[in-house]
Amino acid sequence: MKIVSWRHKDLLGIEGLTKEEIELIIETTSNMKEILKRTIKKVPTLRGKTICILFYEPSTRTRSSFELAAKYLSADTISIATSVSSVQKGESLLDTVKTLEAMGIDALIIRHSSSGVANFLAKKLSCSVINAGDGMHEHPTQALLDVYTVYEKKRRIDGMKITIVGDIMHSRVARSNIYVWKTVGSNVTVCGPSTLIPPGIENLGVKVEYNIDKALEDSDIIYVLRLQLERQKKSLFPSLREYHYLFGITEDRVKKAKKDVLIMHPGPMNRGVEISSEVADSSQSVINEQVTNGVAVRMALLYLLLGGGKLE
Amino acid sequence: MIYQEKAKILDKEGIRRALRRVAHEIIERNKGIENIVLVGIRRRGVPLAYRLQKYLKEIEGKEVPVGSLDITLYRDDLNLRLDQPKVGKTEIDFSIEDKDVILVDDVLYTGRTVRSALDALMDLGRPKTVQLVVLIDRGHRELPIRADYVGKNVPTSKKELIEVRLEEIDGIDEVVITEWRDE
Amino acid sequence: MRLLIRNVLIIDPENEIEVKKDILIENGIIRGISERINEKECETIEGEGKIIVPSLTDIHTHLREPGFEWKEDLLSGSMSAVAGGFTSIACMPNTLPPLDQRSSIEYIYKRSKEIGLVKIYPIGTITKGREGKELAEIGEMFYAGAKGFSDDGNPVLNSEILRCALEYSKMFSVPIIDHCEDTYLTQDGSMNWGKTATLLGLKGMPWVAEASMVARDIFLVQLTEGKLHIAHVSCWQSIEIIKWAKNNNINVTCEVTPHHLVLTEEHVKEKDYDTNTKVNPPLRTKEDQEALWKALKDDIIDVIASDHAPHHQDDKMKEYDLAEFGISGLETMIPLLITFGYYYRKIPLSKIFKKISYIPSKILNIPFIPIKENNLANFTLIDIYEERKVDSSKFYSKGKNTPFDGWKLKGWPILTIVDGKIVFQDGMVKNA
Repeated sequence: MKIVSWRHKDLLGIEGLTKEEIELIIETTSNMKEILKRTIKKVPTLRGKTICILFYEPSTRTRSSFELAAKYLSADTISIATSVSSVQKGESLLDTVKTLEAMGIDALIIRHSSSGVANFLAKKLSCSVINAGDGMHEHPTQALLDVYTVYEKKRRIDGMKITIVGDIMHSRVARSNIYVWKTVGSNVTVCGPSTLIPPGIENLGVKVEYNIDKALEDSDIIYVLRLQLERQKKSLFPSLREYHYLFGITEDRVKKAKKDVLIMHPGPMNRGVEISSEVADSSQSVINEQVTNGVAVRMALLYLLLGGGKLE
Repeated sequence: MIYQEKAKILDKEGIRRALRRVAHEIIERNKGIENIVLVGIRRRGVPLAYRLQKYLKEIEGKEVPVGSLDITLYRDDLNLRLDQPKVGKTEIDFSIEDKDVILVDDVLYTGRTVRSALDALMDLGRPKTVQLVVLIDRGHRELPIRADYVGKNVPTSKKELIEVRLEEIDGIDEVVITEWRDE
Repeated sequence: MRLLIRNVLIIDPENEIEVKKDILIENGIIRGISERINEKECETIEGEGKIIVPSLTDIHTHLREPGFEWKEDLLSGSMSAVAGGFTSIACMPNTLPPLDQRSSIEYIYKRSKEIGLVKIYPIGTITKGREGKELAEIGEMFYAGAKGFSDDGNPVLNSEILRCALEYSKMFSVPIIDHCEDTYLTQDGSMNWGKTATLLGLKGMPWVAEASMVARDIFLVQLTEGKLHIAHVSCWQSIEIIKWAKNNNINVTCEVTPHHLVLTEEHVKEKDYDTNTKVNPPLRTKEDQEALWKALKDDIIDVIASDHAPHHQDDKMKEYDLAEFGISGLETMIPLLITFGYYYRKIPLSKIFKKISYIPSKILNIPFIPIKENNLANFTLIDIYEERKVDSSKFYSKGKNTPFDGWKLKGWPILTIVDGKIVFQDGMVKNA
């Protein structure tokens, strides 16, 4: 029996993970996936552990994905969405979390609209902290399920061209994906309106391209980001129509990429804006697989973070 | 302190004879192999299960399905370790409902691995019976578990270690006893 | 009271001269300065390895009283100032109520006298309520003793209002101190715009927000011929414009903070979202940092001031983008300048100290009392060899928010004497 060393108390981001660690996560995920095929989707591994899922931003998909992952591993879960908690009464972030820790949780899964919140909490709490998305900073479990989905389809993750299209500036999914693909040895091109490309992004080793056709040339993977409608109000781009005209992923545009290109999207989609329905529902789209794999990846991470004794 | 090989318990021939004898015993006790399925406990239980499948086919002319079971997620000692064991694949692509499941493992020692395997099997379905084949029984049970079919009984001390090496994994077929010795 | 300090390096910041002498103080007056003073029966301090500097002045501090006393008040701020080695400080008017009328100015003077530690000089607001809409009663405040006017914390976005303020203040020959920031560009921002903000996922505050307002302000001075002092300059572009202004004889002075000299935006990443790095204007790039040191050496930068901004931990212990801006700086300013300015960058001590004693006093027209026989003793004794770790838990200030906690710094004040009275000695503030 092989022993592996997962030596992190928390999962705060992809930045700082090694190639070997990402490969370990992929391997563990594929073995976890088998459990999802059983009639009784349950193993006793995390029995007796308590996992708190604290979301300051609404999300059905990610939150339920984490909940299922925890429950399939027999952990007890408590799921909190801020609209119904004492946060409304003005309880500070730190107080909320300390209260939960005093109740005896083993892990905290946190989503928050401010960057750096998971880092802040990880320093203050002794339980494991998993970042489910902090502001514009990172969303590591998304990037990990993305890389797993590609691995499942293509049986490889290095030496590929990934093109990420959309609002890179405000996207934590983009940042985490850039880190994961660069770490495993693939190339990333980012494409979007220049008002939505953040300064200094080239320092992460990515190519910046404003012309969508050029960007998509020879891509193995087209990763489409969701366009947030509020950005329009801040004059970052003039209209949805124009965005779709310049950057929308349509069937014609997909033809510029490789024949076996995969279409990915973190969800939820604005059909007809950043991606057309034909493309979203095409055979090249693995958007649904991403969702399925989300549960398995999160199971793998919970096992790696909580499945052993406490790291002193 | 180093591990040192003390004695060879079984060689290639010895393993072959023991497994053939076990195959006969399985057929005898179950009055045929119609309702039998083989499930090897990862890692070395799996090649042993495949060998039993081969011998059963040679004797009875029928092929018994073989599956592999990873019990990592069912271990009772996860909380005690700092490093988590690597999770392996469980591949049982047949139903165990109402079947006579023959669990196969290389060494029976404390019995905890078999307990985990029983829990895992129960989550996959409801077998008619579960029977246990081990190549070596080395004693020192910590739980009330016993093997139905034993290749060889080898009394050992707790300081000693039994190493089963199989061609499919280790390149050679042999069973040896090793021991912690002061340098 | 009789105090003899032997063989100490006396700094004359006005003339940038340093001499080693013995100095005798009797009942608060400097009785003698000479090679060797033989005096018995008086407290003697060995001055070897130490310097004395007159009238250390920090012209940019926030003392939070009235209105925000949980962060700081005039008493704790005064204690912090003298522990930091200062004999005079100017306090900004962003209090609640703001210092926008005569009674508020008088209140500060009254409290300063009662407390009896550091001399506190109030800065009045430019606009009523600091709202940026109407001119405040600058004349009345001036005659009540306000030494300058600023809406600090806020910029004066309306150019016509600033023009009027510069024009009006001419009558009193008093400086307008501007916090230069185009708040439209910095909205929701929490650190410098650039690659570090991108990595950390934080909204950036671009240098243009400062430099464009510095340029506007300088042109208004050129038009009105008023007096302008630019607070906390942070980027090289601002320096370039100020250089141009000085070359064209426009009456502008400017200041820099120790944290902008010592830290850069990389520090925010290194300290993993530590909100003690959150400050406005934000920590900028290495290029900016080098430009600030050069401008300091070339005397484009006239003054160093701490922008002492104490906060309660409740206001800092939060999400980075929601935490308040500010560093509690009075008690680290001197050691930072000596460690990084004198030791590391080899800038002469008298040059550094001129920018925190003589020049700021001249700008605000407050008393600068040099070290001369028969003058009141109003100076600070600093041990420039003592190396110590910064320990924010021991700050006299209520604000423990500093990114320098745990840093080993050299050059600590050991005695502060204000207008003849010893107010700080051996690590203890004397009774207030």
